[in-house]
Amino acid sequence: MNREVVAMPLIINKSEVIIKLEQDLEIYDKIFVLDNEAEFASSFIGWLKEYHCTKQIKIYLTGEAGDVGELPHYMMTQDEMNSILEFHRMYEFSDRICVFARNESYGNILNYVATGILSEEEVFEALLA
Amino acid sequence: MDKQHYDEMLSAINEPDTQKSLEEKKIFVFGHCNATEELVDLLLSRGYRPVAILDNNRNKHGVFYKGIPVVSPESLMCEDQENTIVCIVARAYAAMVDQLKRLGYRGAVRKIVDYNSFSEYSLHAETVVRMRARAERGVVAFNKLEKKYSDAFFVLCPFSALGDIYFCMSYLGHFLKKRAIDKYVVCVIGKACGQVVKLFDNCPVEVLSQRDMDEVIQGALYLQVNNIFIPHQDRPYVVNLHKALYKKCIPLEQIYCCGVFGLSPDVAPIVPQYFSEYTETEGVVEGKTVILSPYAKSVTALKDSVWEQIVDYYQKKGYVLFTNVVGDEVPLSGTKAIRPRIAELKSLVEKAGMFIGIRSGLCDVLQSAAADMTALYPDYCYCDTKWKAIDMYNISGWKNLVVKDDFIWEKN
Repeated sequence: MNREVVAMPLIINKSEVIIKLEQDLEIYDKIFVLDNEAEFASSFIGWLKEYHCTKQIKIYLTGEAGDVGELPHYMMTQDEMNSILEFHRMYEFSDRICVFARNESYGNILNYVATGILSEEEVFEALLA
Repeated sequence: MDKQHYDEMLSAINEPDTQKSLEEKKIFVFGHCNATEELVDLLLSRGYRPVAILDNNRNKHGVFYKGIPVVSPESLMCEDQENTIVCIVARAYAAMVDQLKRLGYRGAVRKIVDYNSFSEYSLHAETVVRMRARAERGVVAFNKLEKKYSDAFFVLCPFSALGDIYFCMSYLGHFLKKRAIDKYVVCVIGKACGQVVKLFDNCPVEVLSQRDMDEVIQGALYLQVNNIFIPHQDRPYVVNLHKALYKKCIPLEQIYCCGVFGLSPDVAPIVPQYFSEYTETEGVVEGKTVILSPYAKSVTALKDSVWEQIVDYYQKKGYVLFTNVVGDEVPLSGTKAIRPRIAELKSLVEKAGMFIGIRSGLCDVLQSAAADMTALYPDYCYCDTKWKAIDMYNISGWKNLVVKDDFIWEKN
């Protein structure tokens, strides 16, 4: 495929959701961004609701990813999700943000569940580390 | 730590401002991992003794490295902060600085190595601008690559390590078959990695510099193209694959098979086929020669005394000894230099009869060699996990020996 040179859209000004994320990184130990297309997103939410977590966690999600109950969360629009994912594709801007999004370009800890190396619970616990 | 980063670490320590701080202040290092241990070794060799290694992992508190304790970062707050300096070689520099700031630390912090160009743990405007420019360069570079290899699928190997390439190629064929891909290009950093690819496959190989590879990968990720794969355990991003090691020891080969490629653990690795005969065998006595491999760019070197013992032992037994060298590497005392290409190593070792090497990617290339094979493991933990290198890289069918301070070759 011959692709034309694609000009990147200008992302100099941070969107409001990125600013919000930056502020939340001051408060929370870990932030999970759950794209509703991601496998395991709803399983993870269900598990997290029951798990006694000693860390301060917040979830950023769109409505379809699951019922978060009392978990600290921010309900995003799809545009806001796209804004975060776009930043994430530009660089890894925090090691305290874990993005659950469909991606087939590199490996993923969730592969260990599919291949029987770890259980789903073990993977979720590892992600909180 | 590879040579490039080690040199960067040396330069940083040698900077006048840093030297002044090291002389005048109490030194702490942040993040207990192999790279930090190498920093500690360097500081000790210069006469500077860190007070402690700071680490968030409670399981490591109370552990010592060369008499230096691993403690919680909060311990720093008991110190006179005006007279302390925290040195960081770990990749999470910005996150660590952020943590220190949140603790209330106001002392000096020094970034010693820029370890991973994909990660900048900051959303400051200048960082965003810089990383955007980097991704933009990557988009252009990736488009150029696509024009060169039209309609190809790209396997982008982000790290220049022979072992990583070996494991990648051991499972890549299965992965590509699963995805029904038959036209592909393997992109690597450095010619040596290209030679490892060619042991397995005659596919096109594109050799890039580290910087170009990083940018191509970022550009491709940004574009969300579906014709790439990045086969690595901790690139492009810190990738949560690594976190699995906090729960369980997963050998590196299995990380590639299952974590990276998503293949079943019972999938058999592809065995390399394209070796060639080493012809300059003058001086190699069949079955009575030892090939030594003491050098590896991404592994802490063993002490000279270890190799001296080994050389002395086999000299007394009448063996001929060679040191495998590249570039300006010097053969061990009492041995001669030998410079086979990667594809020729297997035939050389099989003729020689014996190989003893520091555990490195070169050992993976020789996995199937029919000879007396020994891998020596420096005594360190894999990254920031509790697993030893021997747990992660053990080679089946070889003698795998951990070299501790009291190592005596004869007893092994």
